[in-house]
Amino acid sequence: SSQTESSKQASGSAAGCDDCQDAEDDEASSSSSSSSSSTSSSLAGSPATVGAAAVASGRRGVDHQQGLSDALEHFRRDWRQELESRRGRQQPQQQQQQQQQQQQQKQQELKPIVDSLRHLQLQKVDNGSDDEFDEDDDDNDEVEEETFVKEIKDEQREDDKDSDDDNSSAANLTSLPTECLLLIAQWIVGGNNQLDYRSLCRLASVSRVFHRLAHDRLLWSMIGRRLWGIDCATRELVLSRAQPLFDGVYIGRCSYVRIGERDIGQCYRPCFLIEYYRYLRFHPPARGQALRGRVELLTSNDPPELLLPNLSLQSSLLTGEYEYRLPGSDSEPCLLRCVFRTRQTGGGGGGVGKRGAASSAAWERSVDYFCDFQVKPSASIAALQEEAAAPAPAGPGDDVEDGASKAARRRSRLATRWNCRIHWLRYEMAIRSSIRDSCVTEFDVTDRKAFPTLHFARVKSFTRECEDCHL
Amino acid sequence: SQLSNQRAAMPNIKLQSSDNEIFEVELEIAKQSNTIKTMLEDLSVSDDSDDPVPLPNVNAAILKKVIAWCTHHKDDPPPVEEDEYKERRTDDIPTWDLEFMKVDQGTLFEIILASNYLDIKGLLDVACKTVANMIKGKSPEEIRKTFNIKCDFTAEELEQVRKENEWCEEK
Repeated sequence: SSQTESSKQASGSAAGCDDCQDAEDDEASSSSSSSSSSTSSSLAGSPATVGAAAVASGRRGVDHQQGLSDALEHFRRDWRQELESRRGRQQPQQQQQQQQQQQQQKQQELKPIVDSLRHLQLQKVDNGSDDEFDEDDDDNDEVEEETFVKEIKDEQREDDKDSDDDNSSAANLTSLPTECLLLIAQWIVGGNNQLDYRSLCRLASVSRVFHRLAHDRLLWSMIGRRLWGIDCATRELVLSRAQPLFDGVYIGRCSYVRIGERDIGQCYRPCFLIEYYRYLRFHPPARGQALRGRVELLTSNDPPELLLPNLSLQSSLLTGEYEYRLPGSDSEPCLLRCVFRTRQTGGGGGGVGKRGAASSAAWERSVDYFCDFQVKPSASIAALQEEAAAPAPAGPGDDVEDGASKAARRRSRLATRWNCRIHWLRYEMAIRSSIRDSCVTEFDVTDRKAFPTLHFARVKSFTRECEDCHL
Repeated sequence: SQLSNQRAAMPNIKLQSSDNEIFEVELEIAKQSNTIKTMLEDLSVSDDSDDPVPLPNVNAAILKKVIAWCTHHKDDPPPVEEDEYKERRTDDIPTWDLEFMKVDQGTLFEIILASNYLDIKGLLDVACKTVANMIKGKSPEEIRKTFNIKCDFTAEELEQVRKENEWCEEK
């Protein structure tokens, strides 16, 4: 727990220390307090049917489309009739021959309305917000017609929004059909990158519609296949799969005891408790390389709150490469292998001496560090898999049985702290030298003082960096 | 192909918007819409009929934009069926399309609806990319502001949702 203390201290600059115990307790209490979480669990249920229709038909499901457009058309007709009866306006006939005549008649009847609309239109143009209607001047009637229909559509959309409180007439993103929202979401999670699905998760807190969208099973199974080429049926399975996190650092607080010399006149030998920190930062994989990337290692006396703001500026920063191997199944830990290579030359004038090359470099030494870590998956992943196998909870009905709400509670409890600890498996240092024998030293990583578990601490600025490179 | 041969003599087609405005466009341009293409091929519309194709879900203003896009992109290679594993980048929108998409949100969403209905993959992709870029990297509150979305969670739900997504929130 002293470890978590240290990452807590970091919370000034590094948000989100991972005191799992605290967090879970915290969440347990809060979720039990929310006794009527029926609605939230119904939110968590993904609209698998709609999504399935959209994707199975390769987003151009004619049947689905037809049904939708029929419904829309029907609604529009009804509404227009209603409007016309209100305004005493004639329904325009479909026949083209009558159309001209109809329009003239309509125009006369609508004179006052059209005038007011023209006024509106002028205002719009003044505001510069409308670039649609200031072309196309060859037929004034048409322009007016267009404006009128636009007004109708705006009003209609207002009605669609269940008479929302806000009185702006702008079309709302949420008024798009789920099908289209799914397409947009697919672009949001388009990069082969963990951080993209974080964008999707943030979307979940926007409103109910987006909450449902961000839990869509098809979307998550797509993410799983794209990231690792495997099927992850739910959001939780993707998030809980063992993987390094990129938007922060893993911090380990190491310590050792140094026995000091007895001073003259003292009857005891002082002991020093030396504490230092090991920082490990993984960068997101480069494009086209799903499971490997750059990693930085830093060992420093400075505590996180001092060091994190300018981690990348530290002179003793070691840069290496990491690679992680996907475990065979969801419940296995993943192996994370990092290699740091350093090279020193000395003795001669030329710094870039090559072995066997000119005698400018008297000696050359390379030190390679091999670090293996283990990322353990969430312990309750088996439970999650069961859940995934079970059918999705029925639609967004308001009355949801107790079992489902329990499941939702459990899910939300699990949601926060995944992949936040990495454990040492191996630490090896290989020294090759041009003047001495090479040697490989393996350290005992079971010494928990020198090789403590590293805990994840999120750093906000890292998120920014990672996301910026994708925009 | 027989049909297209017949059409070659008279390569124009009339499209009728929901508000009964008629647009005359080149057949090849209109055929970027799979909906129109299929309609013409499956229903084997006789070439001598001069009837406009009714598009009851698209109004004149949006149809005009759609036609403008299709006209500019008429020489594009046909869209390839996308590999699911392919990276989907949103930062590669061509300049012309970027300018084209500089419209108010209402128009943008209507373009999405129209291109979805007309099944014009290129236009739909570009429009969805544009919206995705407006969402990416924003906090929930910023998204709500950008799109004028009302947060319709109850206080309890909001708390739960917040906990659930705590790990990805900006703090």
